[in-house]
Amino acid sequence: MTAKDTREPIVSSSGEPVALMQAGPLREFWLLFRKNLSAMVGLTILLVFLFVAVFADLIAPHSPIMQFRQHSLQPPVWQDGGSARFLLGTDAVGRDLLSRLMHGSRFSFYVGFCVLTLSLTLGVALGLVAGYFRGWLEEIIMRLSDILWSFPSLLLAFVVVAVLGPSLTNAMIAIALAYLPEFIRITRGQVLVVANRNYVIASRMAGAGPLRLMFTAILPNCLAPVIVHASLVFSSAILAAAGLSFLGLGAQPPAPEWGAMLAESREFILRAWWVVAFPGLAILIMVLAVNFIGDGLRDALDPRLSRA
Amino acid sequence: MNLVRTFIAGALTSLISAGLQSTASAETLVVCTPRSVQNLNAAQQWVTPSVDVMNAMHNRLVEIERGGTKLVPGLATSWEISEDGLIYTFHLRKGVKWHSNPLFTPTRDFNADDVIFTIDRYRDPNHFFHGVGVGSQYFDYTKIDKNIVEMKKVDDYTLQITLAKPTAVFLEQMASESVSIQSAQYGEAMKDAGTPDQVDLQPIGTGPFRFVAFQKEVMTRFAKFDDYWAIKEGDASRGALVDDLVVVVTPDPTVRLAQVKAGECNILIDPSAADVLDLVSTPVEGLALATVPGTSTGLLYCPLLPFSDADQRVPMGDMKVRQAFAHAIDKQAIIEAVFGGATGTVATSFVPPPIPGFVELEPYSRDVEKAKQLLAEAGYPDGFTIELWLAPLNRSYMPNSQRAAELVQADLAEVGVKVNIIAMDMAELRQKRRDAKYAYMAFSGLNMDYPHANAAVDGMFSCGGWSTVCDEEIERLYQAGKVELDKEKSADIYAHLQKRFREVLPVLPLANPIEFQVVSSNVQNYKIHTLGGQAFWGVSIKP
Amino acid sequence: MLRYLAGRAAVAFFTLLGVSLATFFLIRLIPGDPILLLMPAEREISEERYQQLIIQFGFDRPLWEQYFRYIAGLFSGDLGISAFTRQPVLSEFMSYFPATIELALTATCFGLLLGVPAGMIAALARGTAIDLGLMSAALVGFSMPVFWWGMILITFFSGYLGWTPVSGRISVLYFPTPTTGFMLADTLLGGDLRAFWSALNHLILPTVTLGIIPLAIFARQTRSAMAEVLNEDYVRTARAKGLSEFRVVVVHALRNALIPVTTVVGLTMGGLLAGAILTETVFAWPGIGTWIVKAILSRDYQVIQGGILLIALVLILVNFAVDVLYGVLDPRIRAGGAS
Repeated sequence: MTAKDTREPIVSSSGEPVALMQAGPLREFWLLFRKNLSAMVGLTILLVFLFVAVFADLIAPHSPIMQFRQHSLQPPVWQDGGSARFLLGTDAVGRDLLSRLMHGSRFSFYVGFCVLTLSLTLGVALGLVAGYFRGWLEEIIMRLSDILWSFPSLLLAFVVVAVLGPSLTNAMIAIALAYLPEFIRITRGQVLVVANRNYVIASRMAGAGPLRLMFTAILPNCLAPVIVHASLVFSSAILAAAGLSFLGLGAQPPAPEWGAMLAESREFILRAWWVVAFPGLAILIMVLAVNFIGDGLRDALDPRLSRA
Repeated sequence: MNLVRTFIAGALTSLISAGLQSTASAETLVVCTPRSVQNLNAAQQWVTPSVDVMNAMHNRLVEIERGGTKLVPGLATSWEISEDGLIYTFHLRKGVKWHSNPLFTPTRDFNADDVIFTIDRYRDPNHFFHGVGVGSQYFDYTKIDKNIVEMKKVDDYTLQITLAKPTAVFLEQMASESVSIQSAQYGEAMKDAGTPDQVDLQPIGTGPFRFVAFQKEVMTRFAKFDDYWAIKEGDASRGALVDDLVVVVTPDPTVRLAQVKAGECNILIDPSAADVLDLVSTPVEGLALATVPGTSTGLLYCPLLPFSDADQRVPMGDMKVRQAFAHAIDKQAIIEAVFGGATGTVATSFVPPPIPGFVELEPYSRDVEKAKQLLAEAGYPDGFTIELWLAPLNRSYMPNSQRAAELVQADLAEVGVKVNIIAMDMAELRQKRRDAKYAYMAFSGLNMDYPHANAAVDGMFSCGGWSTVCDEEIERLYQAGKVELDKEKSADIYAHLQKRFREVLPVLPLANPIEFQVVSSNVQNYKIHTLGGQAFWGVSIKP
Repeated sequence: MLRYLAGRAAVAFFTLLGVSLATFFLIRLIPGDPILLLMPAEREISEERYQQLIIQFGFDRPLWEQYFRYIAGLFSGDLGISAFTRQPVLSEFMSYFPATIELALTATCFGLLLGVPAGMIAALARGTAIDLGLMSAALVGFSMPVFWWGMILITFFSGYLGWTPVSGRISVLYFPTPTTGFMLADTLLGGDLRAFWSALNHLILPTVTLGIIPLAIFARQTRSAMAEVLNEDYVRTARAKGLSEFRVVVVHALRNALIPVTTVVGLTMGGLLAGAILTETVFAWPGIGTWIVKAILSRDYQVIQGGILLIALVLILVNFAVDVLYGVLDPRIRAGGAS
């Protein structure tokens, strides 16, 4: 075993724990991560998608909402009737599918990042508070989290979107809410373990205040499982948002969100396979890429599991 | 792909398909429909096209000829109308048996008491059954309850109904599903048993099929009623010719098509435009397309809101703006993209073509310059911004409201009008419509309740109707047409009304559907019926 | 033990109370009025009728009073009746839930039958191309947008090959007496083999659709549990003792590896029971997912609040069952629990 188990705190000579994200462990993590073939493949795909998302305006051949009505439901270029003008064909009102897919990747990143930021910050903060202060505060937070957790997540998202009105932003809020309890639980669980470690006790003896303790001594050493879980949330959020859009509760027309594109194209499933196949494939590939990265993260952060 | 298919098929068909394939039996007629009724009270429910289930088990006094627009005798064999048009005397059919169910066995035939029970139940707020169920909105809509002054039982089989005002459409209204005749005796029995709700939960009627089971969003089952009056009168072809009738709810049109292809249903209602095109270009053996012009109109409406504040009426309160919209919106493009160019035609009038009184009007041409000019004349040279409230609406008069919205948005952008599409579900749309504080647009449709042009105006473009445009001339013509019993004069009035409508445009008509159904070729003697529910009597399955 | 149970029950009780409170007020925040939906799209309701229904539904009472009536009803076992169908919520739930259980069970079995062997093989072939291939495939399954997967399956197997039916639980030609509510059981009880085949046939595509993610989860879980167990001392000892590889793997390793897998199976099952909304939508499967979604769309308050409460109850019970099962299976936990 060359790697250290990162779940054990790395303590510097001064007795202060070293945060996970400092240079040493980070480089070590990268070295491990780089060796993981599938994770690197995932990272490459994701970077390509990110590039497309950022520069969609420049590289997309057409506007995603421009309707070429004479060319509706044109098949991809390699099929009879296809043309190089519309590489992946067009949809029912003649919009270029490739351009829509390219612009659609923006929504996926947007959803993934926003949901993650929202549920991660809130969930970690609540979990940290619950695990650190214990007592009635913990009791309240955990009970509320239990209640939230007792709702099936898609159903909860459905109700919340119904309350807020169907839009991608509201769908994100709903999804973030649904993922909150898991972050709370994971963080709290980690805090309970870490808080009793010697260096935390030492740090407290040395007179560190609760905020300092929480954020410099405890939090950095709780992060590994949180990060692994975060990658999972990122990919699930993309799937969930696509699912909500598919049910008509997410992105609204004419936004080229992939799930919404799928819902729009349902009636052509037997007639124009490309309008059904490509948005679904796009979702699958992006989610898969994130999950490959997630696996890589887990392996690199918790080597005990995979490379024994 | 073909190779793969042959290979897999060869390898596996022998293994599974023999045991798993089910073939339609000769005795069950299966109808696949996109929407479910919420409950089984005919006076409350009007969910086209699934109101079919009401038609299977009930009769009306007067009925509409199947697949047509003519009135034919139902539970009334004949009727007389007094000179002043106020007193209707119905002679009721004798020997009409009621269905029975585990809760109730009828001891008498249908008579005038049942008609009085049915109408009074909804008309009289003090009637015991008035508060049972969830209202009778569909019945209320006809407003016959307001117009009936008295119902007199002359004898068991003669009923006299007196109206407050003469109306040209009373018989047509009596033919609507909402006046499906219920059993007074069943009502009494359930009232005595303390379970009045059962009247609607396990309904009985006099129709060709009796009710067996209902699961919302899944299916409704019926069985042949052997004692149906038409059979007893010796006309077996007007009774059920199959043992069972099952109305299955399948919301997804693609799935519905696959079901009919697999022989899981005999009749598919509302195929998608794409599927219709497919079936036309590559016919499937054993399936036939049935089609008739629809009796509804898809439209875009832009209400002026129920209050008179002039500021809130702009800009849609200006006739010129509405005309500009009519010029700007490419209706043919909507027909192509939303109706597949096959399941609809451009609408010019609010009256659907098959309805008596329809006149062909000149359509508004697609003319961007004209539209811009009209907008400028109205004082909006740079256009304006308006919301389009969009709820999923997949009716035959508007198969895909979202796609239509995207087209309208693009068209109006060309003349400088920015359309913000605000998506919501139907429940929210209705609430917002009720509480509207500013101008908006939405898609809707006119569904004919009965074969008379009046049905399209009543409560819609008349003053106080939901289009909220109150035009004096339209109102005058509407009031005149409502009481005009003479057919020719009536036609003349409605022709004028439609011309005026074209100018005022209280709503923008977009499309008239062409109704399609996919029928398996072993189904015999079936006709599409668009005014209300389908009729399945006399339909048989060739083994 | 009793104290433990009482504690669990108390937590469950307060969670359910919280769920009922949250649901009750949350769904009333959804814009839209159920009464306005009791009218066809093209019509307006008359004001008199509107007022009558407001009173009939009790919407004229203050919200807190409505809530207390609801809670009081709950304690006497009354979940209210649907505004639209006029059927008791509990009996509606009972008519949709078996369809959900049946599908969840077959999907879990499908996942177990393929996932556990795949995970085992991958663990034994760790680091090889087989491992990489199997685990990549599992990750593809795990990343699948199920609604799309269902659509693709329908296109190919129903549309193109015409092998499987497209939707529903059983061919409409059969109408088995709903004794248990489970189609497979009911058709067998009815003694009609053709009906049984039909029900089975209708289950195939929804099972494969819904089962793809459990399959992936089970495969991954089995692999990591196996990998861990194969490294344990007792497995090494068993190998050293010269036991056959089969015996080592199946008797010693798999048995222990399956303990964490069981937990995952239980939790997954709970998730599936909570309503597979997307799969049910694609296949028009008459389960509680579609039931509640329809209720939300029509603002059928009694059905939504009752349905969500019942689902929460099911989730809590399943989690409890998982904990108990875990305790029974894993002696270490049992010992810990007793102390």
